[in-house]
Amino acid sequence: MPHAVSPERESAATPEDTTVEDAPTQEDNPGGDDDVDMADALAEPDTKPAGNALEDMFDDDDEEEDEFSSSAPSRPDNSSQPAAPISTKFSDPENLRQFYQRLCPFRPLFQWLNHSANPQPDFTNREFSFWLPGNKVRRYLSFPSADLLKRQCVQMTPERFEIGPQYSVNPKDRKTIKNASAFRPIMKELVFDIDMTDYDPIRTCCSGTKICSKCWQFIVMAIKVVDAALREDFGFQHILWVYSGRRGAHAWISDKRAREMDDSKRKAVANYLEILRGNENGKRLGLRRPLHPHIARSLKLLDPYFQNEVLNDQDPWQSTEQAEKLLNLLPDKSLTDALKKKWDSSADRSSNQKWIDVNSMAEAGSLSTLSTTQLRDVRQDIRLEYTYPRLDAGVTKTTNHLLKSPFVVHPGTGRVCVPIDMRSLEDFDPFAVPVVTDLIAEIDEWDQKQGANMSDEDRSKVQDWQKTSLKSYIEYFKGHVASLLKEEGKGKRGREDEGMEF
Amino acid sequence: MLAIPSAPRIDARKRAALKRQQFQKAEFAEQDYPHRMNFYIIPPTGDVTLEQFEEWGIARLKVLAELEACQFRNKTPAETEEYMRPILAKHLPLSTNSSRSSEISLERKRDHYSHWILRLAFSSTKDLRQRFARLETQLFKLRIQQDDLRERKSFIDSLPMSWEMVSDEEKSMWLDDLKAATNCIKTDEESWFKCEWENVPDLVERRQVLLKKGKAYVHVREQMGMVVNEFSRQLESGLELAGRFLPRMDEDNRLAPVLHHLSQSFVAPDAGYAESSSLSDIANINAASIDGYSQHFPLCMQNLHRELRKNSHLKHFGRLQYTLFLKGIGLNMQECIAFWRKSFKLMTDDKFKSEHLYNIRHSYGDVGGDANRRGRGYTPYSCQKLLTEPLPSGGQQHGCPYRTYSPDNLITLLQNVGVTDKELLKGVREDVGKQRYHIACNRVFESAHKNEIKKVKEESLWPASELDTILHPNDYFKRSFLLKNLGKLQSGDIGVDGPSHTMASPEEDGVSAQPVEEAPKIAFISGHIDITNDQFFQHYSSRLKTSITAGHNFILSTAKGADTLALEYLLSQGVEPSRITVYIARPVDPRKGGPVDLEKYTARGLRVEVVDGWHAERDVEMTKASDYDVLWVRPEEETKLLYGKKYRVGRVSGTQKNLKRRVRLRSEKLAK
Repeated sequence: MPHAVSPERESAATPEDTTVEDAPTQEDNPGGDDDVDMADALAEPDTKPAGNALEDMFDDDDEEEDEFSSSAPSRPDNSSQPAAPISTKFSDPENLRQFYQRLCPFRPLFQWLNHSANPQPDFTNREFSFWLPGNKVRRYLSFPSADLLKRQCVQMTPERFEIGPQYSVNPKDRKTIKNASAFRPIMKELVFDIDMTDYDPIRTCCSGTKICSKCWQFIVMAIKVVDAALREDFGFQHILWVYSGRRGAHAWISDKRAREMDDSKRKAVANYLEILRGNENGKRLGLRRPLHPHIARSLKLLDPYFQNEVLNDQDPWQSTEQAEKLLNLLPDKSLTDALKKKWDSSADRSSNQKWIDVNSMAEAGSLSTLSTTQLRDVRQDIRLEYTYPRLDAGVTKTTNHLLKSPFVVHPGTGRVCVPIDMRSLEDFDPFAVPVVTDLIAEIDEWDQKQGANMSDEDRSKVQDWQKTSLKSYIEYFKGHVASLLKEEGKGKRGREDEGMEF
Repeated sequence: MLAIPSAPRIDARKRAALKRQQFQKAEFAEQDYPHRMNFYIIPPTGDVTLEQFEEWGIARLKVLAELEACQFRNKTPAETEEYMRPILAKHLPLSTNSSRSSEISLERKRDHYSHWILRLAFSSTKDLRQRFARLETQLFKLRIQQDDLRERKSFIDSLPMSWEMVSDEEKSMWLDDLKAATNCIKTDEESWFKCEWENVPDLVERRQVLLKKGKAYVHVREQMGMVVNEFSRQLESGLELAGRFLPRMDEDNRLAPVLHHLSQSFVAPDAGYAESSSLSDIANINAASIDGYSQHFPLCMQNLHRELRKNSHLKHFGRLQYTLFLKGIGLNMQECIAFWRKSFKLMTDDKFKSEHLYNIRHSYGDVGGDANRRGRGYTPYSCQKLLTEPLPSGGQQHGCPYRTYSPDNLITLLQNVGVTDKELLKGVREDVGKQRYHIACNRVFESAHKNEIKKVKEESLWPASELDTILHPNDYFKRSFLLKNLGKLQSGDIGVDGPSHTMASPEEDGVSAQPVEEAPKIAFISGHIDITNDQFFQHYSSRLKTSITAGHNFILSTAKGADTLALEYLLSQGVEPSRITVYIARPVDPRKGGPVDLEKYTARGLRVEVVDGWHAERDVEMTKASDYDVLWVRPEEETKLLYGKKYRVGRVSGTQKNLKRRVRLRSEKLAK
């Protein structure tokens, strides 16, 4: 509930939305808000060669800060709010430094991306990009180990960092190779991005970057459907769902088979899952019957949500204009005319009642030319239209797409991008997700309360993240990583055995 | 034969096995062929004679060419199968196992070897590779469809593809899902196989398979498509590899000419452009004469010509299409440049030079990359090319008007160029309506030359193959020109003597009432002294053939290389020695040159002409004494490579001088 947050935070968050997140006039980031396409970002000048020694960072640290603060007023100012106070809110370098230093779980992140305890190319040749204040992006960073990633984060305090693919060559050496085609992405987790903005045509509670617990249900539905398909159809096991920090969710699939997919296979998966195609007004389903088992299963999953979360909570056809949308989806002129007449005469019928009307009038027969199966199909189509996941498929389709890392702070809301525990998906409350400023306060509070009663030795054993509400999320993540590493270990031994035969 | 490593997809272990198979069994090993179909993964290792090598290659080529023709004539799959059956039976029969034919193993060997022979011949350029892969895939598809069910199944089972049939038990468990997922209707066979979903990404993408834990359940109807796709994929990668390995084989001068010949004759049916379409040797084609010849042009080119004259300009693709056509009819580069310069009346010299000159030269292969120069520029566009390229947009005039014009505009255009017969126009309209554009064009051609064609047919002046469907604008021109000049050819009015003449019947002379007293034209053969057999074959033989059939006489020198090769070639082609004159330079300064051995030539019945002076003086005399050149100048890049350190920038070879001299001489003549 964004309404629940303090007025002060609310006012601070709003301009942040426009300046950092969605400002179309910024020269980069034309695609989405959470990720950046390789081609787009290539145009972004590197502020510095990627592989600069860390010592250098120390040296010119202050200088860089100056540079950022001085660049702030000069950028196109499309909000009435002054820029300075915004950046001090959640992306305040001191807060971020604290967060990266004390809370962000770099070690598990490293293992998750590296698939092994010792650094291997899975991690060392992987691209990271840092988002710095003013929407500056530094692409093609790479790090030999978790500690060095952490040090760089603490040093530069990026608002967020994103994870890209493992390249055939260490990204920082990309300019040294003669043959440009030798630098290509070879491995990345299969990723999905579900974003609330894609639901604007069908949600009534909020729009744009806003979100409430009602429309969060759309994300829950989407996660359920996609997760089921990934597990049951494609047989993927290591799926991590992550809250994107504001109004969406990301999925990271770390199965070896998924990581090694080329673009054509990623595209195949994305299109397999995507059934709503076309523009905002005319999504066309064009599904053949009988429904493909994936769609039939999804429909079964989604039906209860359609009744409760869509018809009751969203009430999408309340007004006459809204009801027009429903009528447009019905292919029978005489039926729509009759329905229109009925609803015009009794204006306050709810979506639920209207949905029942459609059914009863169509079944009455005299008013409609639709056969029983046609009616069934139309009703299925409408239910899918209002419940089926809307994916940002571009993110999934290419290997070189970057996606925001789990456990970074969303600069607009200050919330940490925490993993979502699939076992209690329904209970996940995006508004209960820890905010970076609160977390730092929690550490202090713990030190004063629980910590005060412990011996120094015991206290030193407790890590900072364990003192905060981030604890459960990190523990969940660690469990996820552990099962992934276990599987990898098995696979690797298996491969080595096979190799012995040669 | 060249052993080409098998497609890279095969994993290392299997590859090792293949290698073992390839080398261990020694080169005498004969493969046995359990199946009628073949994936052609393992190259043949047995011995074949050179004759077989060529013969088998040609037979398969014939089949592929016919297959392509079917495609070009828009035949349906059923029609194609019908049409191809006798051709396959004749050139490349493949009996089924059940036929118990004694020829089975030989047939299959031929099929296997001929595939690999052509694979070698067509791996050199990307165009050839693509075409070959496309046609071979079609052939494969055609054959696997003809295969009987049992044999097809056993062949498919033998392939190294990882799939397994879905068991009945599993089937009954998932039957509804399987049917729903694979869109299997009542009448379809209830049979599925499963494989990793990664093998069928396109089916997954379209939700045409059932997915369970990463396994894709695919309906059997997709199986053949998958086999064909796999065949095509493996062939393409195999060709790619062969292309890279090809240069290492250049040593073998027994196979290279055969392969070269094969690939050349493969180019012909598609591009349809043979050098014999050029009339440069027998008619005087220059910038000024194009207007006169344009009446013989096919509609596409006439249209361009009219537009050019009307607007004094043509857009890029129109220019390109027209330039190549003109090049094809024998307009040389200098004349072509002159043609365009004069045609673009409204353009300044500077603009012409900066914007157009290079493109014309590029079309002729005078400039540009090595490949372009070596290929002597682009080939004139065939009907197929014109019919398949994107439609022209506003202001553009290129392409085939039968296709690009609306029927009404087309009829108007035809009327404007003098085609007015109502019946004919009606026929054209029908053809165009059915998208049979080239048929419409041929209809117009046949109507325009009704009488001549009748005559040629009745008197069988031309072989039947010279009267089949025209598939190339340059063919259209040549045929139109020759037909219209049937009478005049003999009368010598235009000094043209086509190959048709040699076949003319005696009474033909009676009609024209002019005996063949007109002196035959004289071809001056010259060239580099260090030319290879291959180069000679490529650049001289077909041109010489044209001249031989035209009944021309020849002059050449005693030089090594091109001249000597040409002399032997002419004699081997049965040219009367008396038609050949050998020019010998006798140095004025006897210290430099030895005595001239005339005997050597006269003894063979050749004529001899002695010129006092060095070879330069000799060449001047020869140009004067002849009507046209048969020569080839090695491109600069190649010369550089050949001579290495000894290469001198700006050196002009004797051959090049001959060429320039001719051009000068012609323009002088014109000036007079």
